[in-house]
Amino acid sequence: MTDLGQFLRTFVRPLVEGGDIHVGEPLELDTVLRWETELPGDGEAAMAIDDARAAAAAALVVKPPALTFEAEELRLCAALYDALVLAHPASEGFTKRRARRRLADTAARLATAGAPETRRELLSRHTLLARLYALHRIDVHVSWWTGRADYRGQAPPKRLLLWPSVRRVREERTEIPVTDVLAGEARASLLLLAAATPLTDALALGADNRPRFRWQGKRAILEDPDLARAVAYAWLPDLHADDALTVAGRAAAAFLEDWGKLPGAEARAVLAFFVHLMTIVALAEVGLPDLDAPSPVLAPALRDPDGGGALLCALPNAAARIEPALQAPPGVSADPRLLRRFRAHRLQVEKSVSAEKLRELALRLRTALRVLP
Amino acid sequence: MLERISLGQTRFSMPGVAPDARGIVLGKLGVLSFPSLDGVVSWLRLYSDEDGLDDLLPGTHILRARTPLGSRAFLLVIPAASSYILDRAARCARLAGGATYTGTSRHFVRYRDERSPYGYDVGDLGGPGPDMVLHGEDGSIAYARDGEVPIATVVFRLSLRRVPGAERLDAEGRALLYISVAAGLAYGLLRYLLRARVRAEVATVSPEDPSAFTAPGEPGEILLVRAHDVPERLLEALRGVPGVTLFRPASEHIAVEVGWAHPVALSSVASLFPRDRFYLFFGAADRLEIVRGPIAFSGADHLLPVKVNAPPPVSAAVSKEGLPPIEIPIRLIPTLSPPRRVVASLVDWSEAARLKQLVYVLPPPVLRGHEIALTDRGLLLLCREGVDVLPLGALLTEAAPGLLIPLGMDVTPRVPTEVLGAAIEHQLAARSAASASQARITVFPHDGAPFFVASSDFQPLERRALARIRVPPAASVAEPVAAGEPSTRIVNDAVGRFALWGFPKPPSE
Repeated sequence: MTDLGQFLRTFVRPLVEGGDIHVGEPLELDTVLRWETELPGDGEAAMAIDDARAAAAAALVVKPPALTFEAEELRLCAALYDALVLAHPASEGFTKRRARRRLADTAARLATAGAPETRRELLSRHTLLARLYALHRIDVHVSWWTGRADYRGQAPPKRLLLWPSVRRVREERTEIPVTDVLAGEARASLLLLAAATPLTDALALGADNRPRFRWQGKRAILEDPDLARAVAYAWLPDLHADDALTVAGRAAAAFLEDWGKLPGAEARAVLAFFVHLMTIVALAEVGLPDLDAPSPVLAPALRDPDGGGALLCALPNAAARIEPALQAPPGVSADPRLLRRFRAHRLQVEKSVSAEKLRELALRLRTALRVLP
Repeated sequence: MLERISLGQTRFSMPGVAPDARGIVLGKLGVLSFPSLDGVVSWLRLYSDEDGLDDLLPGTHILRARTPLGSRAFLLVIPAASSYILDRAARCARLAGGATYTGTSRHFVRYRDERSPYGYDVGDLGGPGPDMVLHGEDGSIAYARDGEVPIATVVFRLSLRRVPGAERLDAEGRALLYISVAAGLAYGLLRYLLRARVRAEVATVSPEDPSAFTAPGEPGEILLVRAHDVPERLLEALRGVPGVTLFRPASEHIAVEVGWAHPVALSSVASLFPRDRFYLFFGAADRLEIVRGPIAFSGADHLLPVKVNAPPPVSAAVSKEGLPPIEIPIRLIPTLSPPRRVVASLVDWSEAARLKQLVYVLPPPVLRGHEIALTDRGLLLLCREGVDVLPLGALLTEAAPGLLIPLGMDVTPRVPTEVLGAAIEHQLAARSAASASQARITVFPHDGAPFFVASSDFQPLERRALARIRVPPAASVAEPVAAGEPSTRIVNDAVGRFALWGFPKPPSE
């Protein structure tokens, strides 16, 4: 592909707005470098892309920064494109393995971007790749009386579907998630893209098909109150559902896995964020008539003491064992009902999780936070 | 020739000086030398702003001195109680362009400075000379005493200086004010103050030295008002009135015109002002009025005139019978008094269609507070408190609770509302007699006789305006309507077999 306008129209715009993204010939690094000087290319498409990104950003923050499609965004889109080209049926074959390796290197090179530091960078990358984990491919398996054929991301020829009853044509459609599409050599590019946009990675924690969530590089989100709030709401989507704490529990489990890898201050911020999440859960229940009753939100999570939900619920209890200031966000004591409900939650956790487990959790937390005993 | 003194030195050629506890050479007096009286005034201003002069004043003199060559100088002699006092005096003198010396009787040596922190001694005192010899770095200058200027004269004769913005007083500044009033304005001012509920006391005072322009026999008295907590708006009104001068108290018996300030901090030279006098410093007039005191103030409210009805009241015989009834009909008259709030509107039936259109057009929050009663006299539209009535029909205001009159009209005769309410007799029909106690809205329209509407006849405008709505059941559809986020699908376009052919290796970074 050599036309920037076509790339913006057929790939970037549907990637941002939704629709079919078209993958064809691979993009060379030189082409991308040349396009960087030709931006914005197709003015109409670029404007539509900017509008869609502004709308997406407005859903997260009150005052979104101005987002324009620039060189960095182009490189990330080109990286995704080249990674998808690797999964194109035309790229398969023993004879193309060297070219595939070069293409994978190019995609990885394009996907390598520094960790975003500012709100603008976070939103800029997120609004571009917000649908990364929603990407899917429809594979069609067509069988007829004398043979069969598979079409990956392509429509089968009409001639194959003619006279379906006579030729006993069967058509099976399967939705392949992006994690399966970008497997093998393209996997590295997917992980790099996930690392490049930590806000997308955090907001899409509830997605079914996605790489493992890591806490590394998420510091900038926690430092921004608006974005942290957006993430909190994404992780606690419906407190009336049985699996209300499932998504946040995944994040807690990832925290457990990343212990020791995060700097002490960052680990402390993550722990404070979890305590804040549990305070939100308590806040949602301050209207209950009996504030000391066991919480119906915590109960399903605590049924599995080894699950992420139980870990999430136990984090404030463990934090209280190592540093009283970490056990509740500031200001909780100002609302007597909230304080009472929060304490009822902690009591419920103490009853459901064994003291040994909480002690061990506190010990590991102390190590993660680099707190001296 | 001056010699620097070292720490611990006890023997000096200079007579009348000794080291104090800090080792600084000090005489009993300090002499501040200034080339002109301006320097003395500047020093007084500087020093009085920093510290009280009252302790120094008993031993302080301003001397006019003359050198053998005829040049003049003003020497301010102050008691050198301690080196701390003289340090401050020296610093202020340096700022005012003077020099400081210390000594006891005739010879005075230069007071310490940065070059000699413990002071100076004099190598050669010289022969006998005139009244006072000041030994400085450049040599010794002998001064002959030419006269003395009393400090009180200097302080009293200084002109006040205008302070921009000082006319506006805060609440503390307005807590107590003195007002001097010319005799002709006194009564009017007092009436003005008392009407504004300002606590005021008055006294008639006469200056000690009347003006040279005062005619023989002319009293020359001024009325001095002591006002407490004067409102700001009152001050604004009084400011600039000829014959009225506002004063702020500087101390118990000193007052300075508002907006002006004395160059010297008067509170630090209070001993110059005897307590049996009252001092009024006029700024704009640039004069000082000294009044013999203490002043005895009297309550101003006792000065208000009291009218006494001359004819004594005569008792009249009251007869309940035989006299015709006195009935004054209530009428509506146009009034120029400020309009009351419009609370209702009487819409003629001919405008009912327009009212209906308004109901369609206006947003629900505007309609929400309205109630309507349908009568044969028209549509009476009533709005609750805090709601603006619809701008249609004859606008009505509330003359008394439950009594509506047209906007711009008033009821005559003007009687208290309870009297007016008691005078209204509602003609009740037989069926509604039972509910006679319920509230009613009485309307005096522009034309025709008054009428009333029971409060229970009012209905919310929205309910009255809406026609019956027939709601048919909605048929459910089998297929749910697809909605939500558009999906993002990967579509692999057809490319040739050699799409990757010749794909270059990315250049190394």
